[in-house]
Amino acid sequence: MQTDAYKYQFQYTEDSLYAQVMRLVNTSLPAPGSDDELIVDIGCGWGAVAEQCRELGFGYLGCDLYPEGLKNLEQRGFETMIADISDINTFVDTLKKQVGSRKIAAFFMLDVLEHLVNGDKLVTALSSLAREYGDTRIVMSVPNIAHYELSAKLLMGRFDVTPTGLLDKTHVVFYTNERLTTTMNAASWKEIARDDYIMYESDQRFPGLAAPLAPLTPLRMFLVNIRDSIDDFSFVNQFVRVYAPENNLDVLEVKNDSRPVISKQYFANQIFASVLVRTTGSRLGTLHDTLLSLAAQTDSNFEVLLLCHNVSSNVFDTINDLVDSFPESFSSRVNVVQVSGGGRSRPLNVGARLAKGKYTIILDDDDLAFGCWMEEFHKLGNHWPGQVLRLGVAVQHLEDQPGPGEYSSYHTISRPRCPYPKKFDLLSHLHENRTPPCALAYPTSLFQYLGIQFGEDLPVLEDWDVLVRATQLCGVANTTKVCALYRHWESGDQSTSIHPPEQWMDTRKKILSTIDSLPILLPPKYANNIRKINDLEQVVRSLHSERSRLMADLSRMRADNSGGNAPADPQAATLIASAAASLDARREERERWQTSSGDLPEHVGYTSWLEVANAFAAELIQIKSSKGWKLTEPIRATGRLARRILKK
Amino acid sequence: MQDEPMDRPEATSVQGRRPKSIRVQIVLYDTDPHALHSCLESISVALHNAAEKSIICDPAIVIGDCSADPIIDEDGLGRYREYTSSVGIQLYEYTHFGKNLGFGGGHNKLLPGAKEDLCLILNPDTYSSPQLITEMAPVFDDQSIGIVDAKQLPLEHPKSYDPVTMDTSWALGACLMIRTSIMHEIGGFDDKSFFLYCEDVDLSWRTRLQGWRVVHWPHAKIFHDKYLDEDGVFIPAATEPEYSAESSLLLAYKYSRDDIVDKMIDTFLHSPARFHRKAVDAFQQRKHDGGLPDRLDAEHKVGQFIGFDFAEHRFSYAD
Repeated sequence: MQTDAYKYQFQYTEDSLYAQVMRLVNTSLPAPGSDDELIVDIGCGWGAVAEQCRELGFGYLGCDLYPEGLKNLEQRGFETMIADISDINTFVDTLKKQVGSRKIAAFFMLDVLEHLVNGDKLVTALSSLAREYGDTRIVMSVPNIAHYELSAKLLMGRFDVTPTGLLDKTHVVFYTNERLTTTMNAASWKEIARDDYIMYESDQRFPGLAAPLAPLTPLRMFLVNIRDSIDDFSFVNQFVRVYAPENNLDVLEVKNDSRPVISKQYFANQIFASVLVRTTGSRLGTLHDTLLSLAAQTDSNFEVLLLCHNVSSNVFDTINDLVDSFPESFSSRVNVVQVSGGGRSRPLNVGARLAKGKYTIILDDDDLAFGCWMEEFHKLGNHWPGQVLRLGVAVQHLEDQPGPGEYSSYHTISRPRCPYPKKFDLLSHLHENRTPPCALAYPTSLFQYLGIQFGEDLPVLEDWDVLVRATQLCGVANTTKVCALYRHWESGDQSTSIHPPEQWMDTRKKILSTIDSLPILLPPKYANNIRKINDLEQVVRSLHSERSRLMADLSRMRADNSGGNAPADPQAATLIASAAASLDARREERERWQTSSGDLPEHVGYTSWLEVANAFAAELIQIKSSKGWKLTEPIRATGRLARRILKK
Repeated sequence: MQDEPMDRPEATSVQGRRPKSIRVQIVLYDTDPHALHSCLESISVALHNAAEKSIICDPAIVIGDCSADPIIDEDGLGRYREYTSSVGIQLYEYTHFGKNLGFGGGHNKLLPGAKEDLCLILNPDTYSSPQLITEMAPVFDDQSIGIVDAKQLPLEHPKSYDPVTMDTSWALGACLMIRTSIMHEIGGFDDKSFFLYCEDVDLSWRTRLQGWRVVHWPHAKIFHDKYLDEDGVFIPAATEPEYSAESSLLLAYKYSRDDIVDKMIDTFLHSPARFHRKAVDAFQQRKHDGGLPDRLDAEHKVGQFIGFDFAEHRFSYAD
């Protein structure tokens, strides 16, 4: 009877994991001076990479508990060592004796760590050994428990253990990127290279036609999009990494993709919110006012991340002085952060990563919060935890006011108005952004654990993009209470004046194109809204055809009248012409806005369409009930009859 | 109003300038303790910051309480004194009046014995900018200025001001700084005529009648919370419509504008709001009792009535 060893009798092929490992070895390990430089392949099985190690000039020592594979290796001319790596001390002693005075270039642990209960201790021991032997590295291949298809299987309530593969029945410890990194770092190994082994179709894709697994289903597209946003490992089958001892000065920096470590205790003690205030330091006067409005909040359960974007050191110092001048009860909650490079979104992404609050809220350096702003967010958050929170916001216009003073002065020139929809509606937000940033509190987990970021490639409308994605996932809890002022400059560097219209238009197209490429997740009861919209479309369509018929009737009446046959009804004529003109004008205006601007004003939105349609319908009733229209009906009926006869 | 451009006083240097002593007067009436705490903390820091720059000296805070029961108990008073002294506020007085004296009455009651150069009239529902005093006090280096008021946030008051001289028709009582000598000279607020509202307009105009200027200093800022309804329309405080209607009538009468008085009475009598008719009744009763204020400004030098406002406004919250 064959032992379990035979199931791991894998072959080296050019598209295999082993080939990928060896390519990485070739580029990340120094070339050996002689074959005295060993690769120690721990848990080597049948030694699938032995020949390739020899080809690179390394000596090869295969270590395993099972003799079958080792015997095969010996027959192929390789050195072997029987080793029980669960007994770490004995293994290390035996290995040292076996290696003798030779140098160890690298340890290989290919698909081994996950089989070990004490894998963390083994890599720690190897780390000490690496220091003894000089420039020794460790090459790892570890299955990824967070492969999308495993998540999809869990979604279906399945955890299908298999003889080998991602869920090999002998795996005892499961690794994500984070856990692997943490384990290796704790053992003083620092990653120097990686080339993870991707499998878009893993051995776990069964039943392959199930909606979460089949490649082109909307469900899979939606879930994969979320998974892809979170990290780069959705389809990594095995993490393939090379590490060097941490004190090795030659280590290369690799991408830091670790996220905040999740601990239940951390979340239990989390403050309510983090307010991101981004500033370029160009309006210190309004920044002062924004901070003042934050200091005066009736609910102080928040921190402020004051994100100074590309500011000079002088301005940075001035901003710090400004913060320090506030009472300590406020200034101690403000963290002034220097942010360099990137576009308008960069500081938001930096802030969202640093945020310690449950919610992340943006208040730009020329906006103002009313005293109840945070308190209202907090109330909403308590009632609707995890949702995007949305408050009422008024818009007020400002202008620069030249005068004495070191700070630029300004004053308001209009009363506040509320042009934004009182209730959040996802559909209208798929057309344009109709909620300013200071109206919204996002669950911070969106940024820190679901991978949502403000598009750094977007010069404008970066908040719209995030809003559409976030509200789909979280839903929206809404209050109409006005709690902040979103301020528009009539002069100066408002974003609408800095960025040319083409840039707004292009960015809008780009965001719409992204929205259109993905399935949309709608909240409960939303189907009813879609039905209403569909009904409206039908109403508009029938109104247009009614309009055409009326216009045709009208021109015939005029023709008849000029021939002296019947009087045209002037009241009906006026009403028809006016209603038709109003419908046409509204349609043209909407089309014009859609092609020329990033934002659609309320009066050309869907709601107004409904109003126009209703008004038109009312006018039609008025026309049809007019005396003149009724009197001339026999003429129109005769005309219609004549045309039908002619058609036939 | 004076036409001379105003140079910005240098706030950070004290060369050639004597620091001004200052008192802050706050009158309470059923004030929310949380709001009061914020008010005291922020004004204390604003005073401290100005004292650190030697712009002011000997800062004092005096509080009068018009509530039926004291807002601050002995323990609270101890805590406030401990805090204010930690930031260098040397004097801290608290007086419970035991009855509602009104805004002007409360402040007048606190005034006797005041020797400081400057007096800041401050509402207890405000949060001061840390630079409030640093910005306001140096304005008085200009010897022609009698009163200065601060910019209110989040809703700025729409009354106009001259962008060069900063002169304005009147100063907002929620946060106005006045030379203490003027307060003594003109007898403080006219609390016999004005219980709530318009007492600040009257104080400003009487100050101007004495030849002093009243200026708005937008670099000095105060957070004085207000509310908007869901359409963005300003929601006045509960007491405002009633008291301001009566006070407006008295102000128009006091500043010799019978035309405005008649217009107001006509408007109020045709108003569906009961408080408007009540205001007219109260005015007529005063007239009958001989309780109307003495008339001033017969030549209309300072009194400004634009519609029912007391200055030109950049916009109206009521539109």
